[in-house]
Amino acid sequence: MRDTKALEQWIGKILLISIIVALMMISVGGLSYLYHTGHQEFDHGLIFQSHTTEFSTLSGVWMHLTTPLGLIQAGLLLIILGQIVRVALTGFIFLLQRDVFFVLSTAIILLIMVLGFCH
Amino acid sequence: MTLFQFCIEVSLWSVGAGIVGALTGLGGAAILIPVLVLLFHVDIHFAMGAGLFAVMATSAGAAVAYLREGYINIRIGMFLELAAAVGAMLGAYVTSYLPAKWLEALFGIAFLYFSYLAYRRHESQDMPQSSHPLALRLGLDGSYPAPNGKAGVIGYRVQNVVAAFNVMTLAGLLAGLLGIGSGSLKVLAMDQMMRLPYRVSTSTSNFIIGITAAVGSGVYFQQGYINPLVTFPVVLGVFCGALLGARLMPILPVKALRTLFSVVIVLLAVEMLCNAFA
Repeated sequence: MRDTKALEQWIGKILLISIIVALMMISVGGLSYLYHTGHQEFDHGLIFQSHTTEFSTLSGVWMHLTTPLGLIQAGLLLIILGQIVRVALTGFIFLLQRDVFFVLSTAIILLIMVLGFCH
Repeated sequence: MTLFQFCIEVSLWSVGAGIVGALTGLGGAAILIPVLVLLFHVDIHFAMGAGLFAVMATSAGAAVAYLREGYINIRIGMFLELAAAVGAMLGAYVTSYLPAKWLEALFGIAFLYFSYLAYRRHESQDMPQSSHPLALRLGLDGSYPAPNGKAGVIGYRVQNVVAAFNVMTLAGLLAGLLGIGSGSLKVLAMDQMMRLPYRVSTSTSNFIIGITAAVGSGVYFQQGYINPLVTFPVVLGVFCGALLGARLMPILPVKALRTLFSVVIVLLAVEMLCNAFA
């Protein structure tokens, strides 16, 4: 069995980079939003009306990418993507170790993760 | 309060949740969801959506430190995650059909049960000499760096593999239902059933809870429960807290970590139950 400690650390680094980029997007979006509307009263009804597609579909987020809240949402999606990529890379490690059981397990997990985004 | 105040206060709570989350193997969502619901009167579905990201942020923040330190056992992690992911998918689909009060009550009951399990933990025990046969076959045994700067590694054995796997499915179900990472249940399964060293349990839990949360997040996202305004301070705060917490973990004594864990989940359970039946 190959020693994959170095690879495991690489996964950690990639994850870290992706989350830093995501956090930057979220920060920029959030701070920009607060700069413009931060003084407004926190109104539960206004904030929490759900089911507007601009923040709940991938195409919606893409279209609103340049708006502050859209940018936040895109950053959040990037965080999810980071987890997906991390699982895929862990699966790759198992592939290198030629461990069938774990490659399959990881593939199943990957499938489930992606499934949530399908209709 | 203004939006600005809201964001500041939520982010402060999030830092605290991130620190505790990284230290205990919880995801921080377990702490933040009650805070958001009880203190900020956020509807529980949106709190859960934000909670999922708290978990992913904790997982990422802690993972970097822990992977470097060598506490995480990726095989055990992925093995258990298999069960949790399936459970989480089921839970996430079901959750939109359940009324908020039910979820709050379920949250409280589940955490009371977790705190009972944690209390039952027998303190020191002899390290078993051999692992469960399934653990050996799957190569789940591992070692971790000796604490306090001593050189070398300490090996450990793995027990009760099948039982832990089943508990993981339940953990995943709860994770999907409640928007948490189910870190506490995962830590308990690894600590009490598989008999892993405590720091291995908490770091491996931190590693996989992000995956469990990601599973549920797709469904929550499509349901419109991911609100950018609430999630923004949560994610930023929790990530910073988790980085800090992960730095602290190797230094703090295990006994203190355990106590922290137990106290936190008891408090959470009580709070949520009170709110559910109010």
